[in-house]
Amino acid sequence: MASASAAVALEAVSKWYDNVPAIQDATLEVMPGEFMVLLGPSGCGKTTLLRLIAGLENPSQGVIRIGGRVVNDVDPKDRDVAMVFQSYALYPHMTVRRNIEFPLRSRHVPEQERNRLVEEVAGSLQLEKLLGRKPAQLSGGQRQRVALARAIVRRPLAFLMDEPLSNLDAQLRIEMRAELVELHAKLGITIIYVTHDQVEATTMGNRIAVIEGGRIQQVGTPQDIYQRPVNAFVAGFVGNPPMNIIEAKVELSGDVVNASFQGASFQLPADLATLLRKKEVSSVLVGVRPQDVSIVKEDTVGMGQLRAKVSLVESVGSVYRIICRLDGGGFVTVDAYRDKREIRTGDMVELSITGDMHLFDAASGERLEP
Amino acid sequence: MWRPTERTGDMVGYGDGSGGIDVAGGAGSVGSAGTGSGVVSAGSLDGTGRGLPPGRSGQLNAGAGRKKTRRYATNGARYIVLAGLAVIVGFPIYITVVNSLLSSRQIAARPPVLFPLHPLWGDFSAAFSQAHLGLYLRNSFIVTILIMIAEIITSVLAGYAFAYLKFPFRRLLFMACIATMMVPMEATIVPNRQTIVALGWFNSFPALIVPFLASGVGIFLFRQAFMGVPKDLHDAAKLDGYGHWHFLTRIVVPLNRPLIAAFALYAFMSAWNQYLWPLIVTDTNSVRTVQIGMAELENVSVNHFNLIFAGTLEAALPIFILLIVFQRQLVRGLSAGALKG
Ligand SMILES: Nc1ncnc2c1ncn2[C@@H]1O[C@H](COP(=O)(O)OP(=O)(O)OP(=O)(O)O)[C@@H](O)[C@H]1O
Ligand SMILES: [Mg+2]
Repeated sequence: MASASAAVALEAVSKWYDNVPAIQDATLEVMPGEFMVLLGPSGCGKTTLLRLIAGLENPSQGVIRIGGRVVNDVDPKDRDVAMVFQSYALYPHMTVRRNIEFPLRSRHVPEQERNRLVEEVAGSLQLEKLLGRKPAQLSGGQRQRVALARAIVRRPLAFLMDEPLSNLDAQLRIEMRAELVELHAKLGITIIYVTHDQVEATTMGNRIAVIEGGRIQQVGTPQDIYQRPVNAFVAGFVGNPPMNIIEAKVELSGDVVNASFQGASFQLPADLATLLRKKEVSSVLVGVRPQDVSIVKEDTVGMGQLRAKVSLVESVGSVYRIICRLDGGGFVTVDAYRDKREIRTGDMVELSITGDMHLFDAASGERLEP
Repeated sequence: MWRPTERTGDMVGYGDGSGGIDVAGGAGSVGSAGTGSGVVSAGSLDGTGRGLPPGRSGQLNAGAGRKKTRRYATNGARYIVLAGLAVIVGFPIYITVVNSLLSSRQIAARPPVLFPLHPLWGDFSAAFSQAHLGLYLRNSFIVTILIMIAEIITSVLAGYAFAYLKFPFRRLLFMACIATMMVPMEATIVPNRQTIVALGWFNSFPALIVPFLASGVGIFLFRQAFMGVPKDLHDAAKLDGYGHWHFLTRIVVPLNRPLIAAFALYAFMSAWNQYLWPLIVTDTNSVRTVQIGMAELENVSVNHFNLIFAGTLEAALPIFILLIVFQRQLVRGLSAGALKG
């Protein structure tokens, strides 16, 4: 069923640890040259999925293909994948040169060839001057690059990276992010990249697989995932700050469909109204991104208002991030561009939804779509 | 005279910190990494304990000057106590050296002669020739070096197996290994001797060597240390194309070199200083070791104390040399315990 051209393909892969499922029914195809990001909260199974691909764990069920070949019973070393560990996993007693050439030695690459490859990789990662040092004598960023070099030098079919930037400081992380993206473009390599940082995911990935509770929730381009999250989890997880999600009752009255929430109620746009009539759901999760909410003083023409009290105003670069407590409980985040009006903590305001609304079934969390 | 059990007792004491943790970790059947970090934290806890002696925090509001004076005073007191202990430990050694250079009559003199004004160097060669010391030393070297090498090899291999491999009865077997450290040698010496006799090994090198080819202490020590090797290194090695053997020889062993050196020294000393066992499984000079030679020296040269002292020094010399040469590794190995990623 998987297309033969995929660099790495998972077909209904599951992994249990002593009857506890870590990965359930994961199906994923990573195309050659693709930068695929596995994104999800801590403990969702990202590392496990990566280790399954690397062969460091065996799947309880399902098929794993690398380069079209079923590798379920193939040793890690013969899978033609290289891994970059979060801890870098450099061999502390070996010099940088020895570290980089270590995977070549086991494959009996002749010395001349080995030196050439090491020098080439070291050159492209600015490590030439560090070849004689031990890992302890390197900075975090340099160690990171050595770990990358050790993976690249083998020219594997796919690179597996487990939160490779999470041990770096913010500045360096941004630099390395750019460096990785460049490297990916330059070498045309396939990368499967694990992170829990959605900014990393959206800026680096060609596609993102969002994982939660051991299940792949959605696979798509960053735009796909941002614009059409398939369920409430993805909606709330991707996007910074996260999407506001409010549970509301559906009220049909004549031509109009209202979503009512703790006394407040607002009218839904026509397309969503039609959708809800058809689906016959009584309760929905309404998702709105912070920039799609605005603060109004009086009742204006919008689709209905929610009364709220400002509980925090943060200035984030060019926007004000205003966190409001709704009258009926729960918080809503609003991103407002520098406004004519000063808004202060404690002010009573009315919120109006001015942009896209996402609807999810309150029971299943699934996106409601025509 | 030193006996194996005493030495074993020492090592149990050393291993205890990490051992306690391991048993707890093992009971919950945590993976190797979990227990490994347990070892590391045992080390750091220990460090913290030493870094903050009790009472320090109570001085917070004392003036800075007074605090300093107080610290000098505490340090001074410590040095005095340590110097006292050093004298107590060092004095017998000093007396042995002095006596080996005196004549028998001077040794017997009261008050004792504390400095050899006219050292007699001849006693050293006399001890050598009169008490077959050369032969005994040779035997001791053969036995000791073989035991040391074998103990290192078996301990490293078994330690690795217990740390990294999954096999049936692993916990049980490991417990059995630890249990051997608890049983004093005196308890097993008689049945062991019978076994040796039954094997027809009485009066032979195998009798002196074979029972010591493996070491519970060593297995325990290396297992704990190897479990402290970060799991990611193992995984990285797997992906880099290395199996267990190469992971052991190229990564685990090099990383634990200080500890292995320390253990080698310990194994050497234990084997070199053996007395009771060689005594009961040999009765001819040709295979007897230097410690027994010492005892014999006492018998043959009752009136020549100087010879006994000179011989004693000669028998202990290899240990002295080893200690001096490997002092740094020994300290590093014993304090390193587990290494950090
Ligand atoms: N060896 C193991 N034995 C038992 N359970 C495990 C094992 N490894 C992982 N798990 C469990 O599987 C789940 C997924 O773990 P995994 O390490 O893949 O999470 P993760 O997404 O990488 O999280 P993080 O972002 O914190 O690294 C967790 O609930 C974890 O407790
Ligand atoms: Mg992880």
